Amino acid sequence: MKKIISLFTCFFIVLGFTQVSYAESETLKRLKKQGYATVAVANEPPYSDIKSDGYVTGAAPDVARAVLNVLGVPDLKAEVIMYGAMIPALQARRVDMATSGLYIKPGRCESIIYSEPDLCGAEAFAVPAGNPNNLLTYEDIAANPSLKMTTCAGCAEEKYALERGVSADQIVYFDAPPSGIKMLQQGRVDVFALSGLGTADLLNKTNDPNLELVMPVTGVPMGCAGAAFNKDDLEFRSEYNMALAMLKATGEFAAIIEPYGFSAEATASKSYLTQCPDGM
Amino acid sequence: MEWNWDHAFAVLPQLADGLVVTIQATIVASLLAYVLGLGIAILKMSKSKFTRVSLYWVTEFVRRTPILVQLYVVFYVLPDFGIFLEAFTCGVIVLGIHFSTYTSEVFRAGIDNVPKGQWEAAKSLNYNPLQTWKNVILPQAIPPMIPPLANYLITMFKETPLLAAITVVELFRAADQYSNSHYTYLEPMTLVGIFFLIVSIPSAMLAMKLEKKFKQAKTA
Repeated sequence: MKKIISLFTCFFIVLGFTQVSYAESETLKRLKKQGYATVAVANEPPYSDIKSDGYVTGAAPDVARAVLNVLGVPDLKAEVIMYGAMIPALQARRVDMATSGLYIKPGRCESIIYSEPDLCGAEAFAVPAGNPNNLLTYEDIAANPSLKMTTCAGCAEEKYALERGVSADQIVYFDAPPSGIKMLQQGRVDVFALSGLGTADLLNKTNDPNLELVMPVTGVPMGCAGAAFNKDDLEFRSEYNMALAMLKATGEFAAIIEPYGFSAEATASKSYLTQCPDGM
Repeated sequence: MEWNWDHAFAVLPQLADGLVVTIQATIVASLLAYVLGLGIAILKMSKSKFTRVSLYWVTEFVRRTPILVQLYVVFYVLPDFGIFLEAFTCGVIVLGIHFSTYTSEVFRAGIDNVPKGQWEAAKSLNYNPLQTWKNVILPQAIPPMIPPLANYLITMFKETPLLAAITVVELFRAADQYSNSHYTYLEPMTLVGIFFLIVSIPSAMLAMKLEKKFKQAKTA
């Protein structure tokens, strides 16, 4: 009898396990099998940073790596993709996720889905030292049509600018943030706009006394980013959120993002649903 | 992914603006390529070995490095040495210089094709070098050059999207910007392809016609 009971127990345990693996999303199964996830990053430290040997790091990929580890996917492979092109890349499944500080915005939620917010931060400008045009808000740029600003095509800063009256002719798009700073140094543009921590990091590395940081830019919301997924990956997104919540609860999340200058507390106060009410 | 006419119509005005820039860039760059190319071809016939050898290396250097690299150098690096040019100017200068190394070969072949006797005839008429070139050599050399030069014009037209890399909002960049903010590549990129075809196919046909006309004139 004992033998039969233990056999049954074994049977149910095995059944339990198969059920667990059965509940796994197709996407997660595929990623586990291949041993890595392909992610889109923008190479904008501290959000995402590709080392010269190709290793991808930065706050967003590090969070994603930790979350995927919990889910059983050991590695990340990164592709550098411009912000505007990340959504088409997700839709075409060229990448499994975008982990690069892609802000959660209602317009984007129509095309893709996000995890719960992982990185929140203020916005910034970089300007010539002394801020000769006295630029503190996007409205200040709009007020002087002879000024040129640079930012990335399809990123949140472009939308902030256009919504606040900056004309499309005033915007010069950079391919990568460092080339935007270069254009500012050379006087091709009057102001560089990007995330606060991203801009601060660039100015730090450029170490040019002729440039100055304006942070925070007032009149724009704090931008919150999350990992982004293809719209069909609802199940995978739930799995990701569960693992992310676990990391947030254990404090591991804070330990990952705080050295990069992000605040876990700022992130905790935001939820996906308040950012993207119609995004489900 | 389904074709969306709303996107197609919305992007059209931006593409039209981009097409104007593309055509402007093509015209200015090709004029530069023709003038410089002719200059290089004439200088390469110089008696000074130093001129010939240095020109050879300069043209090799320009021809054997990618246009994209040259654009980045002119746009991002030259300002550090005090040479600051607007993005559009950078673009047409790089394209013009790059293609002048190719058009110079067309000019050289055209000039070589003029029979030696013509040079001697000019000499016997006591023409100075300017008169020789203007009245004798170029009128005979230029017609057969027109078809290959027209082909380079079309090639340059197709290379203009490279200028997008240095922030020139030409046809391709205009479409790319729309794609980046509306998350769709299907309509903008298809239309860019069609715009390029609309210009390049008739131009290519015209170049072919010119080539035929020249051949007939020669055999007649």
